[in-house]
Amino acid sequence: MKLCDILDSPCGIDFYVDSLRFSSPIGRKTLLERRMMTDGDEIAKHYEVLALFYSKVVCNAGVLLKIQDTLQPVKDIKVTLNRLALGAVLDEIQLFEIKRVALVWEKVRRLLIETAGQIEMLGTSESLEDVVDVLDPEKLRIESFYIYDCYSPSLAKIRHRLKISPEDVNLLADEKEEEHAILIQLAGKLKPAAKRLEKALDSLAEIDINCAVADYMQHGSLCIPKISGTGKSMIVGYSNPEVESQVEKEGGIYQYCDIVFKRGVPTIVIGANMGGKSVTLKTVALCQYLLQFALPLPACNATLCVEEKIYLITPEERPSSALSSFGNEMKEIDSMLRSTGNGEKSLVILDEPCRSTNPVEGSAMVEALADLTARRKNVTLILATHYCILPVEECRWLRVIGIENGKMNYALVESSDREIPQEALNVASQLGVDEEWLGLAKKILNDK
Amino acid sequence: MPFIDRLCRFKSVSVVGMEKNSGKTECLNYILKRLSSLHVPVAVSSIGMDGEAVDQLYGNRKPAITLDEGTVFGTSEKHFLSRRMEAEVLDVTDISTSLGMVVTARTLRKGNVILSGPVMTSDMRKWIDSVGCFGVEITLLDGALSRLSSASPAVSDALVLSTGAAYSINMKELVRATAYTVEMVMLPLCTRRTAVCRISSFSGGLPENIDELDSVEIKGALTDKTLLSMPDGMEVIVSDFTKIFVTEAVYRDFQRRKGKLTVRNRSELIAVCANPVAPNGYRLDSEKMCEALSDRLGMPVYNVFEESAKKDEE
Repeated sequence: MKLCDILDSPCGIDFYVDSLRFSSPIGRKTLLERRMMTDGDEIAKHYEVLALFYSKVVCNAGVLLKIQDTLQPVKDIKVTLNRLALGAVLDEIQLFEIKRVALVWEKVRRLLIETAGQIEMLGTSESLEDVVDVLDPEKLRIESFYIYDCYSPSLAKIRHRLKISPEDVNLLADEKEEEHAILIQLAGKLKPAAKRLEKALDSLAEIDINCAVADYMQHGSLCIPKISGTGKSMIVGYSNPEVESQVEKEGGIYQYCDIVFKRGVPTIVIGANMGGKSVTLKTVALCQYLLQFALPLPACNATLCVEEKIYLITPEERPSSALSSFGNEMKEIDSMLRSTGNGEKSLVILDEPCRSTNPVEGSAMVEALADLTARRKNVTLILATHYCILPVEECRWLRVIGIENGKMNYALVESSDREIPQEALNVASQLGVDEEWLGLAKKILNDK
Repeated sequence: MPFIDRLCRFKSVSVVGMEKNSGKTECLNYILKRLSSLHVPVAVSSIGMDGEAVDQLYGNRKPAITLDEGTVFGTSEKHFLSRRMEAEVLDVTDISTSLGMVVTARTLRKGNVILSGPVMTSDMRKWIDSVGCFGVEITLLDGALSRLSSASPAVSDALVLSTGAAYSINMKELVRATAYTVEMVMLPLCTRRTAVCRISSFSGGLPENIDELDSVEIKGALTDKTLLSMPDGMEVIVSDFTKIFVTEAVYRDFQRRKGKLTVRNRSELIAVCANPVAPNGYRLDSEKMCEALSDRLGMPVYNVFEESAKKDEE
């Protein structure tokens, strides 16, 4: 799975990606094409490079600006490089693009070595000076390119004569012929460097990503997480960037919260309406995705397990589906159960499953779901519900503190009390909902 | 020619024609030649395609766009590679056209090129901004096929209008139509900070209380239909003259009804150039044509063909 495949996930990863300021189009494109990593060592290697950018590059504003400025014109020229590798003759525009990439690489590579030393993963030891030499025979080290006179004495002679008679058709034809012969020679000289050029282009894209992400880290509260080997995960002081931005826009103060969850022990989140349960679940999913794409987490610190699959099943509308919301949800849960049944390590996040059916059957289904996943030791389940459930298997219960002194406290506390808090009427009353309606509801409750 | 001095005061100038074959390319070549002799660093491009050897519609031969050494130009990848001159690639932009990306290049030897630059006005503005780093002082834009969009103040600072027998071989009609276009270009600037009512040409529909209003701002194009539906004495505000698609009869009727048409942004008209030769070969008397146009417009009108010939003789 690629990052671009989950941009429409309700976890809000699109907002996170849109917050990154890339210098070149290839930086964003490459990040969106990044595969979800399931190997902890691979993730750790990416984080190692990111930490280096954060500690050495981003803190040096001058260097960061220079690198970002240099990266700006870099485009994806992989098609041209593939053609070069296959021995095709390239035109002046394509050679200009290659020269530009080689020049940018040399500049950025040097800046990085000076600031952060050699970075093996980015191949900064690989020089493209030989490519620059071929495409810059006058050694001016400027980006422009043309078929230089010094490539061939006969071309220089033809052009000298053309200066005197610019409309001479025969001379123009001779010039074209000679230029083509030079293009063939250049393609031959550059062909052995095609792979190195491709690697440099990939590295430039990675450098752009690291600059953008490290810069984002500097301006927001993000952390590089640790990878857990115990099955226990913990996110301290997390926030959901999209919700936080909305809260701040409205002049509010976002409350950072903590959560701990464990593989094989379902975590049941209960609490008042508007207590932030859905945001918590989405943020956990966001953090898990970010870990597996080796991106920093919106939290103070975090330790997370690496999963093979991530499921976030929420009651969000599915616009193009012919099935009802319940039907869709059933299909998604069924697919999750089948996949986790074969031992795949999975993080399963369910926001109020079965909420659109009757509470008698609904609560039985949710209870069964908690028991079933608890028996699958490869599954980390986090589930939010308003149903009163009593699973047989061991579960951790987290409760939103709820309304305290007239204000919502979104923090989660471990609770031995499995009683579902009844705060719906209080919350509705705080929202200023019709008093007659709420009064009547209270009376019905009391009568029961 | 005096208008060259005036042209040098602007950073971007578009050359637009009232009709195909109205002598736009001749006019552009003339300006390029004069600026080159003054050693002014110039960039040139075209909205759409221009500079082809044969007219696509009438089949007549067209003058090629000739660039002197050192001129920066923007054209599509296809036309860059088919140029007949030595040129260095300065940039491959991310502006796309149906003939590939727009390439910015500098001529290393005088020669001809087909210009097929950015098609969208926003892309053209981006391109104009991008050539600043190559030491360019004036950017010239060739507006293709009687399209006035490049003359919008949102794109260029000033314009040169090209007219001539290609529009009409009836001198009176030619003068009338040219005068009307010039009148639109020189419409007064709106002095109101905000209009009482703003309507979009796309969403249609005038407000119900239109009779109670004294001004309305049109977002988008102003058409005959909209202007006809305006009550008497209304001030209609448009972004600039390139958004006006109103026939002269309708505009005069609007004026008779005490209506006032104003613009938010005005283009500077540097000069009017006229070509006396129609694509079918019919030739108007150049002197009479320039005199008639000049009398009506109240400004000098140039026949760049003759001016070019005179300069060449000199």
